[in-house]
Amino acid sequence: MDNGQHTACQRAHGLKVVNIGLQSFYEALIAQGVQAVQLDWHPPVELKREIADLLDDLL
Amino acid sequence: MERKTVQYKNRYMDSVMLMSVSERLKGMDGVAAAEVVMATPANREILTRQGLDVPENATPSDLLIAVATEGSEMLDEAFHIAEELLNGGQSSHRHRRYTSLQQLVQAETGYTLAQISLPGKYAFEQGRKALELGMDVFMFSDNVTLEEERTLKELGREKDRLVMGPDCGVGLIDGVALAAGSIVAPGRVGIVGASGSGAQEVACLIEACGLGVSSLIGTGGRDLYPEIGGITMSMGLSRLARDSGTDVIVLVSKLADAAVMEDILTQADAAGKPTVAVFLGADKALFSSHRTIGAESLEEAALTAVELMTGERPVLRPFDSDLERIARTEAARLTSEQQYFRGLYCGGTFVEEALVWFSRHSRIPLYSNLQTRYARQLEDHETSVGNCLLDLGAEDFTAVTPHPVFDPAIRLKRFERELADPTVALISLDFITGPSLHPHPADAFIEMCRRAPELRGNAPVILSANICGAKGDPQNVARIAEDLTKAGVILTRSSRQSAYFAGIVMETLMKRGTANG
Repeated sequence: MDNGQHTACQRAHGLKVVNIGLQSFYEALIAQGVQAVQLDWHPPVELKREIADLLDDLL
Repeated sequence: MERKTVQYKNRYMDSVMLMSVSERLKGMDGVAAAEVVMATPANREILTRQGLDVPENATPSDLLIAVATEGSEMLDEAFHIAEELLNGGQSSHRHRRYTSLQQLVQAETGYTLAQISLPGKYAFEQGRKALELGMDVFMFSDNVTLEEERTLKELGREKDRLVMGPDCGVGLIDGVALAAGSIVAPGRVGIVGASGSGAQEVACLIEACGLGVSSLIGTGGRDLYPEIGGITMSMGLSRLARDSGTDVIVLVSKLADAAVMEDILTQADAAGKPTVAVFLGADKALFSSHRTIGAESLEEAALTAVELMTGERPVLRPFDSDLERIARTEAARLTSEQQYFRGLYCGGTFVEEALVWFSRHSRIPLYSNLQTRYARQLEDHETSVGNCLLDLGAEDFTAVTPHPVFDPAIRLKRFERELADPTVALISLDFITGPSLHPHPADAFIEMCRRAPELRGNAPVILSANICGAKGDPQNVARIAEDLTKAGVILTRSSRQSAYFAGIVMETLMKRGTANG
């Protein structure tokens, strides 16, 4: 795949970025005219204590 | 006193955004207390201590806006503003929102890079998923374990994908500035850097000499640890070696593991392109058996790269001789009480460069908040002692507030305290620009410079600064330079020159018999 015609990172279609985290980094990409998407990331939901305990009992 | 707390279930917002909204509310007249936070146990405690309500069923996945005001009208106003800021920040230029990488790539193709800045404990998983999906990874997040970093980089190597980070602050890929990087002019010098601000300064100096950068590949601060073995520096070097758009390569790092540096230099020798390497603090002997050219400073690495490109050593102003003259003149104006040099830096690599420079060219004893062989560590990072070089971007300071390149408040407060200290002779600053950094990094400092006579009872003080930024950055580097100069700040062209300038000031004071450790 790497044939010396490519520049340093993947270049076939130009840089296309998925931003996961700081909103300000996503906005900086958009301001530079980059094709970018902000992932709507959420931390994993905490299991309620009683459900976690119940699973421990069952498994 | 009116109080209200609103809970948004399962609504995540990053800490930088949350802090900026909280600060905005706290600054409003009539607001006694305001917190906009994720409902972690620590934050719930903070709210309770301030007398703010905490919903019983609040979990760390929930966002809380909690405000106390002097009247109910003010309360409504505060909530209105908070919600506008939070929703405005969330507004997307797209119609569809994706909650996972898997969902994203099933709907849309062509994503080549994942830029990850989540809290450390979540970063590894997203990095791994991105690599599995064929993307390169740029990871700004720190607090990722060394084990996780190794796992990611080995996976990346297997898939021929770059893992830039963790703890990687700067990148320039396909002309796009990543994270805290600058929008540097395109050109044919490629850079691979384990030191964020270091690689950034090299890139900006190359631009200042009239050339440009093909790519700046950040590796993260631990890439040259023996446990990692330079995987990303090696892959970055290899990519630049094969890149038809790169003619000269620069490698940038602080002093690293000897075997890893040796291995990297051997690979660089075989790159087939002229290569310059700076490992700050390394002995010249490291390079003696290598074709790769060693540089002693970030500035020297940049100037050497330009010389390799053009055949001529570039000329940058101000000259050392100009600054030597200014340093001696200014130092002669100081009172006998003024003895100390204080460096207040955002760029960790600039602190390293100054420490190394002083250890080689000066005998003055140094203190720092950092644990380093070049200085004694401060007992309390909030209180400067003697000649003190501070990394305001280090964990001491940033554990509870954003990095100073995003939010100048902490560094500004420290600057004010140093200005008011009658034993201080010289304060040295750095200013870094880039599309995701504070839009007006120098304004508040310039305002503080104007207050210096009031803070110091009209006693003189020497102020110097270097600006690390590119012409393409939104902050207008030329204007910052002009404004700093008007405020009486002496501008240097690089972090090496800032250290040189400070060295002459201190030497002049010592000769007068007034400088002390």
